Amino acid sequence: MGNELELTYVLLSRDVSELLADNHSDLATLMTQQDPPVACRPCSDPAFSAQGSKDLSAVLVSAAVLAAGLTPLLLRLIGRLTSRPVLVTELVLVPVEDSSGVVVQDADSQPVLYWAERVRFVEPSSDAGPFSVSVQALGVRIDLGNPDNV
Amino acid sequence: MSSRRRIAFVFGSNGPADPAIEPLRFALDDVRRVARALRSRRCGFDVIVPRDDATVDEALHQLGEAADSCDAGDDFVFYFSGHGILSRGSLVLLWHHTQWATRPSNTAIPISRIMAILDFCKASNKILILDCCHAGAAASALGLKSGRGVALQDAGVTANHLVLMASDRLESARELSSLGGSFMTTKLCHALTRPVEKVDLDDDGAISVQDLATWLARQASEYNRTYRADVPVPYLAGQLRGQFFFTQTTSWPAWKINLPNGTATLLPIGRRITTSHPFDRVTTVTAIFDNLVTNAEYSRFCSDKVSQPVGLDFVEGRWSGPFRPWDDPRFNDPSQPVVCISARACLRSRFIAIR
Repeated sequence: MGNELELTYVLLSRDVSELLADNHSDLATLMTQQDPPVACRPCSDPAFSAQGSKDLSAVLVSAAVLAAGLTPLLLRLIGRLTSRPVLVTELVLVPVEDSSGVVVQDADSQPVLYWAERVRFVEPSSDAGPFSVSVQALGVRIDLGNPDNV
Repeated sequence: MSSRRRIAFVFGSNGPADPAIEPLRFALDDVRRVARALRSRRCGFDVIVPRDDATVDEALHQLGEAADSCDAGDDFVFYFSGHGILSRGSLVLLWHHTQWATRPSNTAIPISRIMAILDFCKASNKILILDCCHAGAAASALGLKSGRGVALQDAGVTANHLVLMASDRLESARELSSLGGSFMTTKLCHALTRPVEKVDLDDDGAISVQDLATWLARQASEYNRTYRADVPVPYLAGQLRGQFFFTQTTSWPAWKINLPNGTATLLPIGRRITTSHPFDRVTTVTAIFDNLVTNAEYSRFCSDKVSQPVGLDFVEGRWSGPFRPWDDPRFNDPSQPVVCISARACLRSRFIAIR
């Protein structure tokens, strides 16, 4: 897959998944129908794959899209299907650490990972930023807000 | 008239070699275990499993051949374990060779293709078992938005199609290292290979699809409660006309016990016999004597190896017990006919049980 930080995971809430399914669509299809098409594909959520989930509802997008504005694109694509507000949360995939800072591993000696919310998106870069060691991947989560807040 | 056939098409995949897709660890094991359970004498299915390296076309061709070979009155089971994905709202099953990004139409398996094949299948009983994510989307292929909560008889389908699903349309099925397989499949195999009464909820001596679905749902709820887990609760959708049994119903095998002056034929009360040895499962049977046997004769014949018989009494429309006739002055006179015998004790006393 190459460098994970060249890719961004898009995670869908149940509401968004249901919205797409009810409209006989899915995020990968919507993105590849853009002009120009956005390269993406379904994938396992790396934070859950070690738990035996058979789910492939996450979507992997080239991080190059970020520069062109992944968040506005997602807002537009999902927003076309609903009157509810679309919420996009930026995430980083980081390992779970115990109280002494040691990375927790699963039964297969793989690090246990989780998605942590970030207020501000951390761009992958070559210089050693605060997450350069521990960040495993970048992601965004799409959810639908309360319709009363429209 | 041809005899009723039971055919199962069992397949699955750990998923394609795609770095973005976490391979499953137990889907192929699931296939082997389900195939073994369905092939067992207890279930009696002719099981067809595609080769591990079969292409999608080869597997579906084989499925079509199997489905087309069915006649009215036959039972047909389709089973899949693996990755399921929602594409444009429809369920698609992933295969070893699936190239989702470049060749999805020829390397993945839309559930609609499976349904189309099964539509032509003449079997009276057809059931799909889907142990994958988003399995509930298969209900859409039966004309339902989502199967959960839809009464079987309300499903607007014309054939006896049933779908047993490991997950609802938006849920993720799970495989668990602790079980060495997918949750639903592991429990399914337990149900089909372990003592029947745990799953036979209606006490009719066989495991129907409804017995199985109810038991699986209870197992999932219990597992989630015990382990604070979130495995999806399996459920059944479709239309059921009459019964569909996973295990073969067995008739009473006319067990008889030889007694001093004749025989006693044993008939079951409640649960039927479902194993080769009737007393493994049945503790209470009705004994019909072809000659009168008195308490004295029975006691003498059994000698001291047999404790007094214990049975059930039919009181106010139901069987209740324990009933000890030799403690009851109405029944314990040595010259009176014995009203209750112990089948287990008879066996222990080397009475000969014959078929």
